[in-house]
Amino acid sequence: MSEELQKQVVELAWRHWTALGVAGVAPLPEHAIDLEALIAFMPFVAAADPRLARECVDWCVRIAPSFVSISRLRQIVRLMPSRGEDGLDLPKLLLEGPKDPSVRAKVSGKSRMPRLEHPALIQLRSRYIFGVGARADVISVLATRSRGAEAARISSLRSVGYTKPAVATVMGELAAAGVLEKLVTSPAISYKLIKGTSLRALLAPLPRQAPSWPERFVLIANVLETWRRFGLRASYPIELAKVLDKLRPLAATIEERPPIVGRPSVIVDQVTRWAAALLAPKGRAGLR
Amino acid sequence: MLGQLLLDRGHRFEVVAVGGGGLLLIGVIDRPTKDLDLVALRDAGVLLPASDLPPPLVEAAEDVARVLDLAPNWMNGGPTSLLRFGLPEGFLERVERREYGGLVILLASRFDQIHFKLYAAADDRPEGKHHVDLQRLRSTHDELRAAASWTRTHDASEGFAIMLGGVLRTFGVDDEGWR
Repeated sequence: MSEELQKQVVELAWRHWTALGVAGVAPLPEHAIDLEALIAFMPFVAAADPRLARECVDWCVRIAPSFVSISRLRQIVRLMPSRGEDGLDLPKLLLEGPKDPSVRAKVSGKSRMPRLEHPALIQLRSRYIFGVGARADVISVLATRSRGAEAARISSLRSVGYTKPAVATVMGELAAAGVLEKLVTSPAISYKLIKGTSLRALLAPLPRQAPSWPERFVLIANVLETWRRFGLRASYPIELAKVLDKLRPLAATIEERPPIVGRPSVIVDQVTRWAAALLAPKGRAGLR
Repeated sequence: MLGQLLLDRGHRFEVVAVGGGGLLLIGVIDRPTKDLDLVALRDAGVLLPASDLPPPLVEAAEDVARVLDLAPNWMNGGPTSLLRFGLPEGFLERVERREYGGLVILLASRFDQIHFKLYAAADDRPEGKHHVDLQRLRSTHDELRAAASWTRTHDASEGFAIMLGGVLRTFGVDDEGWR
């Protein structure tokens, strides 16, 4: 089952990394990319495409420091399923530095700086304008929300990987600066974007969609990891359902529900189709 | 499915099943039943109460329940009290053994199921499922008398005897030979 899913995952990863500047030929995505979510996801992809893995190392060693939020990466890695020690661990490379100092000399050197004018790279563009951190990501979330979106509560805008207080501080400061209007309706505080046109013009071109990738990658990483561990067993569908059942609260945050009830013979196909759909988001969703 | 899951997880359990699930498995009834009532676990030849099932067995049963949309306690030790006052004599020699991967099910024989069903029917309404199961078991008068004597070892009260007598009469069995 998951060979097909893995193939789709590798294709998506190539598209994201190519947009980021990794040497490769892949159509660029029309949706926004989430850098830390992508890096945290790579250990579950790398073994299926060693060339992609090698080129990602090159990008991470030479280019990542300009763009990556290490603290956010650390938070998102914690959401991912645990793995064995085998294979390339791209997040570890960034969080702890290369074990082998000669890695820097061995990289391909083929990666280039990303072309920030591409719509998919709104997160990186925002970080170049506002600096790497919660402020840049909150602003890109605000800019990619649909124009008719209601006033946002902090919980609904929280970009995964940032704490609620950090997001609250940014929102409060943006309100003080006149970018947002603070609406106090007991017991909740919400914020309405009042300089949306200016903000969108600043961050343009906007992507067609801005899916929340951390949750999607966490869900798919769990499917792939469960397949890797139990895929050859007859009881694999039950193990898969068990893993996804525990992730129901996370899935619910992106309005998803894993299809884990049914005859075991059909569950695997159901989950594969569902996971594949997570890779191809439709509609204009906010980054959350 | 449960047996395969247990096998894949490196576990093996031997359980003793009674009730509707057991009847279904030995082919006495065909009504759908979504639970399996256990009276005991057998470990190294010794019968242990099924009231506290081993955590790996409970976990595996819950994992199967999730997928098949069953109650989490579809495999339960509800009838384990039967063990406390003793199973019918020779029970273990009559069980039917079924092996499903890491799960061995010892199914109560038709003769022993008559005992358990009669015991349950005494507390059941006249057209209840235990009465119906008892009819499907095609019990003879002698089997019902033997079962009635055994039920009295579990409940010696006069009130129970009155209810039991009522059930037996619906099967044409009088009060002789069991009171």
